[in-house]
Amino acid sequence: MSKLILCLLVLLSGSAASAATEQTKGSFKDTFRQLDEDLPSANAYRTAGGEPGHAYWQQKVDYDIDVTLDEDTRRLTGSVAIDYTNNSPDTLRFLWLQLDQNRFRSDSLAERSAAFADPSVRGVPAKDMEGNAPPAISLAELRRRQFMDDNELGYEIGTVTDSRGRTLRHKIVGTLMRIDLAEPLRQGRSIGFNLDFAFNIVEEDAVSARSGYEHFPEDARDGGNVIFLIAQWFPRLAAYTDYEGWTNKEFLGRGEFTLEFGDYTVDITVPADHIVSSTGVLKNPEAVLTREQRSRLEQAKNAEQPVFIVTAEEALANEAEGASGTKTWRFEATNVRDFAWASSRKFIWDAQGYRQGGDVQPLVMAMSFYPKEGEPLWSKYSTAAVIHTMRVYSRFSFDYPYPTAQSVNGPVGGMEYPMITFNGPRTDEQDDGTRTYSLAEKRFLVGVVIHEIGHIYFPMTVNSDERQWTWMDEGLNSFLDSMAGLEWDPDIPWKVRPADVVQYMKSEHQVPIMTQSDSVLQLGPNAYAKPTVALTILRETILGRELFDFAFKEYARRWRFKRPTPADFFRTMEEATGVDLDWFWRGWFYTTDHVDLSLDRIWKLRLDTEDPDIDFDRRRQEEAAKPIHPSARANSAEGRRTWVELKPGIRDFYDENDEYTVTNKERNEYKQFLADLEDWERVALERAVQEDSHYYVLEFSNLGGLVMPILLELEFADGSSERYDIPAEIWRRNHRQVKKLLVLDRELGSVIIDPHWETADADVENNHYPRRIVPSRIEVYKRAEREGPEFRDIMQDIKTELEECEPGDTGDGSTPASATEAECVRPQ
Amino acid sequence: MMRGLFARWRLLVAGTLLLTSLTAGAHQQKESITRVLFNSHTGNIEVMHRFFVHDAEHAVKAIFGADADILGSEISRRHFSAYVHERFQMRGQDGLSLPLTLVGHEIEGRFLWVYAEAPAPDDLTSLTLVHDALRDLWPDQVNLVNVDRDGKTTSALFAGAGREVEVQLHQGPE
Repeated sequence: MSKLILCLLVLLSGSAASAATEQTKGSFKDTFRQLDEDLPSANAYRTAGGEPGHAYWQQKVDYDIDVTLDEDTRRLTGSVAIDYTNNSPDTLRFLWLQLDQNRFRSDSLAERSAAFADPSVRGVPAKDMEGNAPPAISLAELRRRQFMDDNELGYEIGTVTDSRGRTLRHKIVGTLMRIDLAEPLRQGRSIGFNLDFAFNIVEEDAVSARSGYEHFPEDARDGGNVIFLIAQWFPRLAAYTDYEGWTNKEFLGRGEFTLEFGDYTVDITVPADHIVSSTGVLKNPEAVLTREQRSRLEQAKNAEQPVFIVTAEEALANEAEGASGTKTWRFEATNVRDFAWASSRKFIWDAQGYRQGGDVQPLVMAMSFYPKEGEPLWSKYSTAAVIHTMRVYSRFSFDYPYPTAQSVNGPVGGMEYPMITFNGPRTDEQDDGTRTYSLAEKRFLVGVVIHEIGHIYFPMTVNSDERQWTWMDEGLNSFLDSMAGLEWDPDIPWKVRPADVVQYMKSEHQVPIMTQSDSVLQLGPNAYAKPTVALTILRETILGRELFDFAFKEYARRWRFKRPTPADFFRTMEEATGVDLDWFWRGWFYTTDHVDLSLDRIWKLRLDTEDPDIDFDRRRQEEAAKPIHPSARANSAEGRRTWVELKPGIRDFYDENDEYTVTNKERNEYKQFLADLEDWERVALERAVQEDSHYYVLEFSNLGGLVMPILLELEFADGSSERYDIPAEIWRRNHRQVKKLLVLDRELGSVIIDPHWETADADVENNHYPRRIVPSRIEVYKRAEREGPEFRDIMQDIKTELEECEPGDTGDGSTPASATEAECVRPQ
Repeated sequence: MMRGLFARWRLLVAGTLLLTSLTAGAHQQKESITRVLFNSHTGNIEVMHRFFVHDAEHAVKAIFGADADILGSEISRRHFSAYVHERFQMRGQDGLSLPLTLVGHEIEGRFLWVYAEAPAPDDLTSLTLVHDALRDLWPDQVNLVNVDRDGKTTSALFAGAGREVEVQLHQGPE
């Protein structure tokens, strides 16, 4: 019985996954099949054009949190009052909350299901057994395990009560918690409830958690100092959506999250000498900042460059001395989908007002917080990069929507939350006590700040679900960060070029971009690089900038502070450009095909005039141009005379009139042919005969599977060249092989597909006709290798004496025309 | 049984001890792609490793010290190149190593390339590959290798598990 059920389930899931239509004869594959049958049906919440529908809704969740940070025990203790508004048409009987800290419990699904040495687990796995080699475990993994053994991790959740003090039943399921409501929550109604929580903060370098603490034991202060980056730190309402219901999918560490928008009031109690950076706006500066600091902040609003709110010297004194007692910082944030903060006495703090204009948020405070370990790099570039990001991203999307934009240095390499980002680059302390950084580290800082601040647009404002579709924020954001990077300094190599993803797209180890985040094999190329290249090709090659930018901005406008799905992106880009892109989404996002177009053959054609006096002679010439039989050629070379030559008497009529001889019979037929033509047919023929154009049929094959436009560079025999683009639609009825007729006014010499490497074509050699040998990277490298400056024998060359070049004697007193005529004299 | 298993644990001391002194990688990719090309024009097997400069920068600092500078120092690049070369090996179906010669390295945009080559034996039917570069340093390093012969690609993924991967080579037309 159980077997039967299993079979039935398999059948059901199989039919659900495949389309209703199926090609059951032949091998035709419809690469242009419309996506609508695979995309979710349009409805009142999401239109068929990719826009929020007339009945679009999303929940609202407001939080009022009191939290206390205990530096010595590395522990957070808090209480939260949550106000949940049900805007959905559904009646809710329970609510789901995300308890991300439970991912670090030793019995979590993430821990228990992690395969030995699974590289997809974010963190530090071990090496597996193989062959005869012993298994191995890294010290980093040992450190992680020891930390998890030594510390009680995960949430401690207290009683949950509603606003009337009634206890609400709750059930913790891994990284999720269900709260059962006392009464069903109907549409338009709100419910308030409270709960207490606490957890021990993880050490980021040991556990890799996108947040956590970093200890600086060497600092002068007794016990050292700590930087706390606090995120995913309070029980957060899981999103309830029209497309998925509750997004209550276990947090495994890889796929991040989506949440509800809402308003926050957060009181953060920290050691009195800490500086706190946080989502939102500081509401009680007089209680936590000095008069001097408040005055500097005021001054920073109109500054042309960052102003120190806490200087390096003040931070150094702060981290050396320490103070007793605590202070409570109050932050308020409106319409954010999450809340994160950072706290340390080590922070240097700089700020600069960015006046972006507009009605939404005319003034944004761009701020950076960093320890001395980030200097002198951070004060120079962090806040500047924050402002630069807003300048560029706003042009592509919408005005930056929040009052602050912050970059904080700590143990996290790069992570984003609303209004606040964590960025990792540091500098190196030298023996003389100074700190320096490499060019690479400078680029990393600017790059990571742009990327993470960019995430405040996608997905913190355009609220896509990264646990399901990582590419929707990482791909779009990587595409935009390379635009912003190029506008920062085009000499820095930011841009992901189409050619960069060729090897990944060719490889057998990949999954389609449209894959749930936790199942993606290689997240970097899958969710970042490949979508970036896809969008770049759409913008620069397929749609052009004007169409693409209009549609992209429309997508951002439509979904700002709302919750888009991939279908909404695909549909908006089509609807706003008026271009059917289903083949493009299908190929790039739904398959693992790669691009490899080949130009296999070119036929040269000439139009027959039908006039026998012209056409028969052409045939004669064509025949004459063919090589003669090899034996006949050899005979002729030997001087062997033929029978016909030896016996002239044997010649007859046909020796004087070959098979191309025209008679009046053909001429009469030609006249009749012309007479039988319709007038328009005769005009067309006469004109074509007169123009005598060059006709070519080009045969292409698609070896990679992905259909793409064929970008041709036509090189003519006269040395001129011309670009000729064939739209991807040529592959519509045969995606493997197509022919294309070109009618040209000049004789063609050679043809190249995609000469500027715009399409990620994997094999460049078969793009040339006639074939051209394209040297491999190593061949190119070896050719150039010995010409670089590093190959000069300077030890020998340095012995060379300096020569003085005098104008030579030309005999007529004039100066020699060139240096070669000058006479160089070695001084004695 | 347990004693036997414990006896076989081995610690990757050299890399990971150093790693703990690093700050967490700022936005590192920890991914490389290697193309192993049977080049019919030269008769060589060409090995082209592509690393992100960012990864290489952190790696040289971890391995060769804080002064190492991948963009600023040719010596650092040479060290890195030799390090990669030592950790990549190929064997034929007879179990014999194919002797790779280090050709050189270069920076190209965001990438650092390391090149090596070996004469291609005529009768190769399979390749056993070892690609340990950066995996001894970062256990979550992922190295993807594409073996290209006669227009066909066979891939090997070096990620966490397993040290060796055998790929069957596409056989050209007889």
